[in-house]
Amino acid sequence: MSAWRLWYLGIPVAAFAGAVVAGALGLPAREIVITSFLAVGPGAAITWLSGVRDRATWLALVVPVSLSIDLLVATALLYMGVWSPELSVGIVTVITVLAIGLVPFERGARVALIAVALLPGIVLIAAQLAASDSATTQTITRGEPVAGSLMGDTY
Amino acid sequence: MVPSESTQPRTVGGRGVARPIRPHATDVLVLGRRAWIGVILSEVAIVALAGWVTVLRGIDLRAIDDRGLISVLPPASFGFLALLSLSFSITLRIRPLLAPVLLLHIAALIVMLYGAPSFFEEMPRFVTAWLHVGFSEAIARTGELFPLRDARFDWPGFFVLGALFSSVANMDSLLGVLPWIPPILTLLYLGPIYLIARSATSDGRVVWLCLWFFCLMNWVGQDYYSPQGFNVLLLLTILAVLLTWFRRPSTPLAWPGALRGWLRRPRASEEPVVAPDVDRSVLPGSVTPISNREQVGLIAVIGLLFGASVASHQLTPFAVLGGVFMLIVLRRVRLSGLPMIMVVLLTSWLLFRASTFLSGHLAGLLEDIGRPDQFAATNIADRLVGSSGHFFVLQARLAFTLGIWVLAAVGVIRAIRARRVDLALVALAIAPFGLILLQGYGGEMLLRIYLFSVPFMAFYAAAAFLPRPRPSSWAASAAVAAVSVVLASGLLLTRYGNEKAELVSVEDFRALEYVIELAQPGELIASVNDAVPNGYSEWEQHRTTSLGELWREGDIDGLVEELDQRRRSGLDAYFVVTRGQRSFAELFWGMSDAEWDERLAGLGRSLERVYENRDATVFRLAADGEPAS
Repeated sequence: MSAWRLWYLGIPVAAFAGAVVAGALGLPAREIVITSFLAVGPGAAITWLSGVRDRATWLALVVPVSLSIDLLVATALLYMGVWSPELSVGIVTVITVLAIGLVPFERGARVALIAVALLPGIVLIAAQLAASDSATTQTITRGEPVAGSLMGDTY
Repeated sequence: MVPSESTQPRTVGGRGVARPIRPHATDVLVLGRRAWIGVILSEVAIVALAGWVTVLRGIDLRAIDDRGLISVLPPASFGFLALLSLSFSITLRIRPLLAPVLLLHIAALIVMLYGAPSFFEEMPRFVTAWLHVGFSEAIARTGELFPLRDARFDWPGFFVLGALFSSVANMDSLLGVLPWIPPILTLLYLGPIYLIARSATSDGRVVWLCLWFFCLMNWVGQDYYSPQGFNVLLLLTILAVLLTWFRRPSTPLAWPGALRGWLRRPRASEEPVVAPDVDRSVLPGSVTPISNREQVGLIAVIGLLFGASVASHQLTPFAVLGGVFMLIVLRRVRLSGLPMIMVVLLTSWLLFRASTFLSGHLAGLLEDIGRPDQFAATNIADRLVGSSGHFFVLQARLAFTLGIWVLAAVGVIRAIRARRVDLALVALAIAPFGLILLQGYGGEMLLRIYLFSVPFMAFYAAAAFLPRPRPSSWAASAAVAAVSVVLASGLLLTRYGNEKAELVSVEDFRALEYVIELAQPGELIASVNDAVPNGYSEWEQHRTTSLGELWREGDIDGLVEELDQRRRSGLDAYFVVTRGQRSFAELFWGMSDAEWDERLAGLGRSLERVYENRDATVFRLAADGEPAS
């Protein structure tokens, strides 16, 4: 495998490893991964797709375009009566992956970037599964007395 | 990101044969010295920032008087600002420009000026930001919009975006991130401002000085968690794309007779010494080649950005439209059909999504159009009230604003005389003033006009110091440093001049937390004025109102009667009195402590006191009409 392919492999591996390490260190890995993706992911992909070659323009566009896409997707869903942050992230992920797929990258780079774009979705699904496990546990323990009052210490 | 630095190796050789220059020992020495100077200046910036943070952590919040934050800042804090300014102006002299070091200085300045409250405040400042957090929290929790409760829900995009982020980040509330929104937004503004400035000059020093001045001039404080703060980013990005990628070739200005000679007369001493960091291949106003694919892609990007703006703010799309229209009319950019597309998008939203607001307010909006007298009354005369300390702050704001406009005007004149004026940026600096004819915007239009024009004012303020692309004198550098210190001090006075009323104490928060927990859905939470963070949670479940007029008149019986009338039958009503409201009354109404305490005591005789701490009191008017205990 040539050196550039190792680089491409390294991008998603580093992203996944970073998420796992953050989780292991007790950092809010899910929050960091998903909000970072929403803040830069779709804008990066769309700006690549637009063909802009100037680095300063690309940097200036990434966050505003990302936030605009997030905003339009979530608002459209809300007006359709479907408020679902998970579905919003899913649609934004699809937009990002499609955009990356259409950019004339070399194949290795495209695969690596798509893998990174899919990371937040994977983290979100993992979090949903963990939450459903936690809900099961709560059901089992429901009814036990609660030590202390949430309000008591404050007031 | 330096526009003017060439990355190509230097070459020599005649007759089309180029060969690289072998660096001499002296070149290496110069390069090494430049790098070391950069390291030292970076350390100076870090020391200034660290010193500033240390000083700010020690200030006493409760000692802030009617002049705001500046009343408690120790002299050392200004020393650190002066140190950073001096270091920046020296960095600006180094050739080629040290972009990372300049960026570090600007980032330090942003943290110092815009992140300042996070170093001393107990809770996030500014109750309007709390209310906006409440809007996002309500959307995230219910998945609904509430246009009948608040007109801002007719343009809900920004609040929905906040709800999306808080939901996926698993946060119950965005209160924790509020202190960092202003520095983050300001940092994001720098990207498009960089492109705009770069499109207008080939002198990298002007670009960086423009960014620096922008951070020193944006005193209006609209960069909190708000739709307008976000929309300024969209506005600047749209204009940056247009000015960078859709420029028309510059056409010479036609100045009237007598002015022509004075403005355009070349002086022998002014030409042709050129600073080494000027890239002559990118001249101001030049047209950058762009492929069809890039054009289509960038037009789509503009559409996305404008769509997000239309869905998230009621005013900014008009400012975007005005700016784009001005550029088209003056033949500065191509895409002459763009304003029409924008009008269609804007009108469609107003007709189909903001109809709730329009149906109730259209007549009032139309009445305000073309009424500059109304504008002057609501934006200037009505705002010049309050205690003597606050009046001083108001005067400082007017002087600061006028001073910046004068500085920018000097920059325009010097740029014209140096034949380096960019009419597009002059037009964009002036275009927002057209909003005066639209309406008063509740007394806030002047602030918004300033906000929309400040990036372009900053550009010409920078041009006032560096009108020509030649090495600047030490006197000019000293002037940049001195003006920077004055602007930084002015910004601290003007931006944080209401700090006494805009701070939220832990005790105020505890009182609101208590009453929000206690109040049943539909119950009324009243207050003296709006300086109370009562909407940050469960906003849609309670009704809120303020009874300031009766409080100012000292009519406590009338206030209790009004409270009784406004609550719903069979439900309790609460009246919350906090330190923030008291400070607001001192600042804006000139109310004394004795007058306040007298009213508070009167209220205690008429209503049941259900909660009290050193800053706040919560009263209840019970539904069953039991007398106060």
